[in-house]
Amino acid sequence: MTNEEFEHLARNYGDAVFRVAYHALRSRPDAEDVTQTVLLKLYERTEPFESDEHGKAWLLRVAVNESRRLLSSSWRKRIIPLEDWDGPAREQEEGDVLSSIMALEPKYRISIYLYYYEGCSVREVAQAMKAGESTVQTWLQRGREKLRKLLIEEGGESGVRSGNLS
Amino acid sequence: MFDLETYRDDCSRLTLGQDKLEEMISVTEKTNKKRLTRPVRTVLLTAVLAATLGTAALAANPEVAEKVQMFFGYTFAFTATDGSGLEAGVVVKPGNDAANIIAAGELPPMAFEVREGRSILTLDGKELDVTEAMEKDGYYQTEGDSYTLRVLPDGTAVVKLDNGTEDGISWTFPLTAEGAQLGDSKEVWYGTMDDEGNITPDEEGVQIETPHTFTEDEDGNLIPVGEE
Repeated sequence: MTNEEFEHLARNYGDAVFRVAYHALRSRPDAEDVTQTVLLKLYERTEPFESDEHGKAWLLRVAVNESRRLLSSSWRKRIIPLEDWDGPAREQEEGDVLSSIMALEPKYRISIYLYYYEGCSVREVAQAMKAGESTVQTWLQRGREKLRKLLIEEGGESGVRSGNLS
Repeated sequence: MFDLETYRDDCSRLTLGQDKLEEMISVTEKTNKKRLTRPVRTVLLTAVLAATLGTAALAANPEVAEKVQMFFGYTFAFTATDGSGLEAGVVVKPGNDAANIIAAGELPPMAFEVREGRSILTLDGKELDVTEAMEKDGYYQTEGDSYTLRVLPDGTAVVKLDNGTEDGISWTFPLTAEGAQLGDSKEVWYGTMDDEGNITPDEEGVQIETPHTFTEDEDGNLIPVGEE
């Protein structure tokens, strides 16, 4: 891969990689680490992409893989006495809606992000997350249900606005 | 009000920032792959292992450290325990300076026995009578933060660690009335990783018979205790 090709993909999809990692890890430093790792993998890749979309799909897939690895190991790096732990800290840059999504389990929020923000199809989400299409559909459905319950529990919200996140 | 457009707006504001992205691009392009000679890689590799497995007392086998170097350049994975729980599954990508964890989790100490006709599972110091669950379902199952534990009536434990995939990573091992813990179950096995970071563990594992303890030297190398 030439420097020009690398820079083109990095500049166009770097934020997408970062957002995938952030949805998985809910930590800006960790998400930045994953993004850097993904960019290194991109730079080392020798096979050309067929198109920008092909490159984007590859980047999202690798971002999910790298995030998953960091997510699996995160318990090791953050040993906090249970009595001191009150859940992941909300980043200041999270809006209220994003914050609600981030209260879900990683598999729900990643699939929601890929489907609703990146505009991936269920099949593309399944490929990125190494899951079956029916599993992804279940994740999206359960994610929406959990979100509704969460909003109801928080009070004041009548749930997800009908017709928008359905 | 919650709606999709607001979510999209929130996501749009979640960016690396232009300066950070350009810095990452620059760092990536300046990375000199040839810099990573074999000795350097070995240090990096062992440093990652030390960080992954903990720098305090670590039950494993001295062969592990040798295998790290012996099989350097190949993908490998192993689990190790410190007697209190399963430590980790680790895969290191060949020809790269980064270790990749395929599954990691911490399990509580556990033991199983049949006492006066009742099936008793001791989990993290707490005794559970799982007789009825076993009679009804054929097993007792419980879930932790990153694992699912299923105990069969014969004392066989099946642990599935969540690694973010549908299948997870599974181990099967015996729990005995003598209080056997996961520290008695150690394996080394190998797998391969493609350029997207997908790992396929090989089926055959290599059993480690003798627990050992490692410390870490100032360069991050794992040193078996007694051999510093």
